[in-house]
Amino acid sequence: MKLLVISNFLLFFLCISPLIAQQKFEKEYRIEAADVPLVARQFVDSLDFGRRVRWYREVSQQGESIEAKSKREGQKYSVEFGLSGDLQDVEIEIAWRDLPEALRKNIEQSLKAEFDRFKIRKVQRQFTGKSKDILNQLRQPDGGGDLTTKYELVLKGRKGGETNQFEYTFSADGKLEKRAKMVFRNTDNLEY
Amino acid sequence: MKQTTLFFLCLLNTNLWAQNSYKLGMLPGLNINQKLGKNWRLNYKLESRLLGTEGRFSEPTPFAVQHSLTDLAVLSSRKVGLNNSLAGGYLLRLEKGGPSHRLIQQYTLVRSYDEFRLAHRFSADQTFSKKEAGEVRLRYRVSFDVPLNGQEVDDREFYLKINNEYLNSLQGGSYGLEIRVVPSLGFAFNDNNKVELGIDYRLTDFLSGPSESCFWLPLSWYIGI
Repeated sequence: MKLLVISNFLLFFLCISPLIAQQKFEKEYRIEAADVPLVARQFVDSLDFGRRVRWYREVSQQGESIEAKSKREGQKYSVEFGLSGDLQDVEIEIAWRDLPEALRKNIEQSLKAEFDRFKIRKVQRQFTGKSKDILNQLRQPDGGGDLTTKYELVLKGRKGGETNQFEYTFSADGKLEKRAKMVFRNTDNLEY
Repeated sequence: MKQTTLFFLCLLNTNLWAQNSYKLGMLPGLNINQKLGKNWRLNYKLESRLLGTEGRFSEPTPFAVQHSLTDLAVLSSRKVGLNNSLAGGYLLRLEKGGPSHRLIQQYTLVRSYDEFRLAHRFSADQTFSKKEAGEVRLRYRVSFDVPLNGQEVDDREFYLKINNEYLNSLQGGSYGLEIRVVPSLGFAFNDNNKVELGIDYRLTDFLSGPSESCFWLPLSWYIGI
């Protein structure tokens, strides 16, 4: 019987091994603050996160970047840099109700045209521009400077009987700029 | 308060503990998931139980690996929402004394958070065999997995998974409760190819008398095709 079990396993392994295809390469991993360019560390230090900052390095076919994640006053911050420490953007998670009413209406109009039903799960305000201007904005909101503000929404949308999760990007005045369907990781090991 | 103290004293009572029985062994398993179109999937499972030793805690017995049983199962599942699915299938258990047959129904809900995933599984099964009375079980399992590096499990990365399951059974008019806790270390070769090794602790019969503790070492391979 033991032999039968072992031979069954071997047979399965042999049958399925050609079917296990390589997927596209994408990886992110924790790094120490000491491995982060000084200019990036200094920028994050100046944001005065009163708590631990987690640093990550992301590697994909599109390139590499460094990301700092932390929280300030109950809001989640994500600060992205290039490998040399050049600031790329700052994203702050905010509540949907905290967006200006006119902006919420514009976004809702766009989403109503896209879906039969939708539910917003996450909203991030994204700032891009010179690090000095971003810093001013974060220290003193509406502090001026030449900044680009965008809004990234993660939402569950239903259309034609099909429900999916999407990431939508809107401009500061609520114009739809980008949409992407999100792909979930395999959940087989949690279901069976 | 007195009852709680008494409960812990009972747990610490070595004489009582000595009456409890144990099993120790391995659970090698292979889990293949095949996509059939947009919403349908088939899950094939092969799992064997290799018993190493069993007895009472007071009288340990020597270790000798022997095949105990083999399960062959196939489940068909349909996605019924963004993160939830319904599944139903059949399991054939091959063991000494003859085979048993099990019908399975389950509903799963998986939610992804920033740094971990959480899954709830509600299932029912009905087991039939010639040697024993039919058994009906209602089960609930909560599973959690978290990457050991970074925010999500990437290719060639380790992760930690913990399952906790409660199994209510009704067989021949008697009720039984089994609790399982399974911490596992997983390795993802890629998103569709994962191996997990853990400790599957099962506590049974503790409501009606001396309990049985089972310690299995599951080695599971999950493949998506």
